Amino acid sequence: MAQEPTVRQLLAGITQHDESALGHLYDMESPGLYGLITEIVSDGKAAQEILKEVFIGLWRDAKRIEAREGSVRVWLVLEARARAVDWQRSKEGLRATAHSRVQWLTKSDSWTPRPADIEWVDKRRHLLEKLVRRLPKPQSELLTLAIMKGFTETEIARQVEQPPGRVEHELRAGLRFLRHRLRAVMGTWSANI
Amino acid sequence: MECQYLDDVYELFLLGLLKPKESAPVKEHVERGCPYCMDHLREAAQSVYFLLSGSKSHTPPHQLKAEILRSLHRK
Repeated sequence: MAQEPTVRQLLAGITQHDESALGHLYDMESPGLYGLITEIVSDGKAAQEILKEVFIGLWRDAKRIEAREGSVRVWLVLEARARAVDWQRSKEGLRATAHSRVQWLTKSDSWTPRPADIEWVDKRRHLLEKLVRRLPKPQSELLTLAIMKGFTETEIARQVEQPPGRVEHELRAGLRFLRHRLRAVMGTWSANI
Repeated sequence: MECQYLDDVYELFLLGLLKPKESAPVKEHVERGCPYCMDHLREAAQSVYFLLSGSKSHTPPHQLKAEILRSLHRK
């Protein structure tokens, strides 16, 4: 039986303008990406438009993404989140700058994790989720506001009626908590988890 | 280590959530290929990926794939 192509092989096909490779990658990745987008964006039609733009962006930037040999999945989730957050923020009259950061990163040198590291994150997701559930509730709520709403620390402080310094401290503590658990799970650091 | 003071901002940088004065040093280090910052950005990208890829899957409408493939010819 023929083996399923890997994401890497599909990306190589996309760089050669192979539409079936893009279609195959869409079948693999679109349910997860659409789930993320619809969590951020309240409008179904806009969510579809955003997903479309993500894949058209991949078609356009495939050569650049392939050259870095990093994980395509990381690029896809960052791109989808940035476009969705910007759409939602524009609708609410807020500055939308998330996508310009992803565009800058797309042009930058090798900062993306290797596909093998991302596969490892996926394999250990269940354990990571269990560990992240131990994150204090206030930190978890701040992380959601930052990641899914794209609120800056100042905007979050206004929203939760807390001093900006405290929000900054709690949000960064939450990310540090996650980083340390990830290191432990990935085997790059031993910690008492 | 010269860049350790940036340890807590790499995830926020990837998400575009830093104030310009905080993102400027990260940008500058990335541009000059700082190995410490690259390693930490790679690690931060794993955390960000974990957070962003945990949403419940949701199948998009059937016609969207065909629309995307059609629109490639117009690009």
